[in-house]
Amino acid sequence: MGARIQLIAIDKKYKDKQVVRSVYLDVKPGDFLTILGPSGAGKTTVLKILAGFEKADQGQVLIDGTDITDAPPYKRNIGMLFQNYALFPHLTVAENIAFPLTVRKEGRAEIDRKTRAILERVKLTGYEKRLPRELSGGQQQRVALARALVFNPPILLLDEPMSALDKQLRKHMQVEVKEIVREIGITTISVTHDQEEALTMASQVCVMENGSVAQCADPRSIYERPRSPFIANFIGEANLLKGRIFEISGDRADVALEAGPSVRVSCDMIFYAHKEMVYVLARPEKIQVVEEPPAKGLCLSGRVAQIIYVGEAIRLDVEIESGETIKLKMLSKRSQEYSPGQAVTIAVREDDLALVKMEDRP
Amino acid sequence: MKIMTIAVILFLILPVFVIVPMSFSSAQYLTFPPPGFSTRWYEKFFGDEQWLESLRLSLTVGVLTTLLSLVLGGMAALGLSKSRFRGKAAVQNFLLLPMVMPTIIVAIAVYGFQSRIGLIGTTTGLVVAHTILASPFIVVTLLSALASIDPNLENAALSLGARPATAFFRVTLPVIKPSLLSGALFAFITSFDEIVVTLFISGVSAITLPKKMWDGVRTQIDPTISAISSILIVGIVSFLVAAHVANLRREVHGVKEPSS
Amino acid sequence: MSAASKAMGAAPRALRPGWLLIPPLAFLVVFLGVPMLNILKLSLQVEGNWSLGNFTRFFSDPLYAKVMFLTLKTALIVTLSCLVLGYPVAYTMTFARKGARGLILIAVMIPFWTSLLVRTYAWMILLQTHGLVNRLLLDLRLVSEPVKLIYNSTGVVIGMTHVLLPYMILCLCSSMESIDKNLLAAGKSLGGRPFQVFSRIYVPLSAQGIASGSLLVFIMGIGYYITPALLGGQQDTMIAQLIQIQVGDLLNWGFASAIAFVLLAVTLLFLLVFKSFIRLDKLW
Repeated sequence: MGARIQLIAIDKKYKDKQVVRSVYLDVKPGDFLTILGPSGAGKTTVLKILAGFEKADQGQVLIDGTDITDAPPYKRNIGMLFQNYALFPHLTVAENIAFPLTVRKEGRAEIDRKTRAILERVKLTGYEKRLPRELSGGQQQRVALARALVFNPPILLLDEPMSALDKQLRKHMQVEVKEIVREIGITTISVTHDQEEALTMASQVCVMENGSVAQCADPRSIYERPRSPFIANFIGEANLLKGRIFEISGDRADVALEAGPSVRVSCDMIFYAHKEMVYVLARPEKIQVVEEPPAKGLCLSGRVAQIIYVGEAIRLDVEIESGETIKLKMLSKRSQEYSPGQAVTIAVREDDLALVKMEDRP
Repeated sequence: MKIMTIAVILFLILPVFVIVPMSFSSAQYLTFPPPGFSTRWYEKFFGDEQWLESLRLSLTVGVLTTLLSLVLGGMAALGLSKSRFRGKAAVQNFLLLPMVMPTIIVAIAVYGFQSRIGLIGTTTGLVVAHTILASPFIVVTLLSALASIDPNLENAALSLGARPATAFFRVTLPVIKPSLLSGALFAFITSFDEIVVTLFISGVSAITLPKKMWDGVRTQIDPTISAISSILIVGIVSFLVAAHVANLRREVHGVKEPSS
Repeated sequence: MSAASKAMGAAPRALRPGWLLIPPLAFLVVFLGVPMLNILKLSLQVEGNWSLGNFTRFFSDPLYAKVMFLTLKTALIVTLSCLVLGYPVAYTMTFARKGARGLILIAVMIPFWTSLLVRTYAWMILLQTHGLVNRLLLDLRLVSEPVKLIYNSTGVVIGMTHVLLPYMILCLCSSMESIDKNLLAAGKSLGGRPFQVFSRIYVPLSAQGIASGSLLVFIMGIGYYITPALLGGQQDTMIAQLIQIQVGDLLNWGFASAIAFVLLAVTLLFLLVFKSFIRLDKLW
């Protein structure tokens, strides 16, 4: 049902700024790709190039192998959900949804049938005669989604789809939209700066920074093996400890940390070299407070600097000898009691460590 | 401050309204307060073929001017809002020039030109001249309206398969309808009330209502003018009140959502 | 490869939107641009030969200098009256409740939409020797005999002020609306008395409106024809009337065109000098 989308060597410049640099994307039919990045990263421009509202300076856009780089938006047969939904204020819900069908000159009976079907799918049956201004944010989003899907496009584009919703609704809609597109099997590309949204909804995440794709992988890989400090910090919280590789072989490297101890970290050898300065990544939730130093893995001693209680979890900031602060996160349990200044020993299992290159990979 | 405001408002409105009772005066001359009540000046207006002819002409020219201004002004506004090229500001200024220039200058320029090509005293000549004066207002109104609608509306229509023209007629146009209407009204009134240029180019065969009123005021202070003026005033006032009431009820369509 | 290596900035449409500008531009060029060039040519010709004679005639004759001076003076007086009268109204409007503001707006709009001719005619009636205004003045014992209010500069000023006042009010209003009311509250909380807050905080902040309103009224004022023609006397001839007499009555095309261009030049001069203050699109 969904189509394969390819972006090949896309460049775009605005005035003097290179907004998109040599971007390559390959999305398999039915996949859900989220382009994630801070504002200014170029992700919205990529989406607009895909939709046809912007023209790339260089490069090609292919859908199922067909070059549509020069095609105007109205010929691309792509469904798009805009950030503020862009519902036509003078048309009812039903008329909004029917719009793409009337443009394609479908018969009245067909239009009614398809409109009813899609309204049911987005759970808005009965709202046909309402006007957009009478609807809540969440309802407007669903109408916009219905409108983008009713003509069965092979591709759906989402521009910051959840940004206008409040937190509760956001979480709910993330799951719901993901379900709907999965059922239909449509290839979806979403753009967002919300990393939680990216990890929740996507099967592939593409992190963009400064116009380039920094890393493109499934959510787990992005989270557990980020390729740059930027990505490590952008997604979740990160503890990055500087160190130098003093031995490397096979699929692991031994790193001497500036903070003191040495650790063995598994990695892909071709990316790293002997004597290279690297970061060792330890995610806060993987760090434990221990009674005694374990046999293997990273172990550091320090003092509790700050305790922050956030309801379901406790954030513990531990200052180690070298002066750095290590962030820990643990689910709050009744037996846990820490006090500032308390001496603690913290440890991370070897498998929970990852290497991150010091400079961003091109 | 408030007292001054009221005083100034009275200053603004009373002269306009003083004409209404005057128009029912039974006296031949301009005296106030009028000595007796009479509707003879209204009868004179509606009974006089020349007055009615001038009214018809003004209405015709007004409608034609409005249509032509809407088309030309609309094209100009669309073209300006959607294109980017060097010298665009100059083009925009040129299109708005008739609005800033003293009308007398437009008057003699147009008079000179139209007398050369034989448009003096013709409806066409009037429509052309009035369109020159009225279209800048439409351009300004529409430019502002186009700038304030959500840009994604048109993009959405395009993404859904509508060609640019379809997107314009089915989405953009309905959404800017209120501005179109007010622009059209303004154009009509500009043409209907136009006197300066008309004075020069109406010749003997294209006497509009304002021109005939001017002649009346200049030559023998005909109280019929009061009757006509009253009709115009009542028309305007009722329209303004109706628009105000309608405004109070209507909500604004398609204004850009606040960024969130 | 397709357009891969072509660098393109605009949307891939066959008919660029800029083309929409051609018909209106063509219309304006033919029916206004050419006529303007025509009278420019006429202004530079005296009896068939190229010459600046028309212009020198205008500038050297003290009669015309007087007309110019009178025009500017009248426009200035009218501008000031509009400012003085309009400011309180705009101020009240900005602070009024929605209902009251709507009513005031209608009151301002009524003369605005009423035909110029009708309004001027109304003043012709009111300012007569035995007209309403004189009657009132006599009844209130402010004067002992009727004052000459028409066919002189007083009548012209009154009439023009009435016509141009709504423009001033609208300009002032539009700028006053954007003044942050919190600034006034801050002034008061810092100990400023109402008049001080008004004169030292509010008025300066409304400067943009004052400037744009004054500029608009002044520019319109110097080019006015109808009101001065009907309410003024022989000695109150303003530039626009001068042009009309030269063309309509005396058929001095060259001279009239020259005067027209002097007027245009003066108008454009004022516009350009104060360009940053005026925003025509804000009026609507």
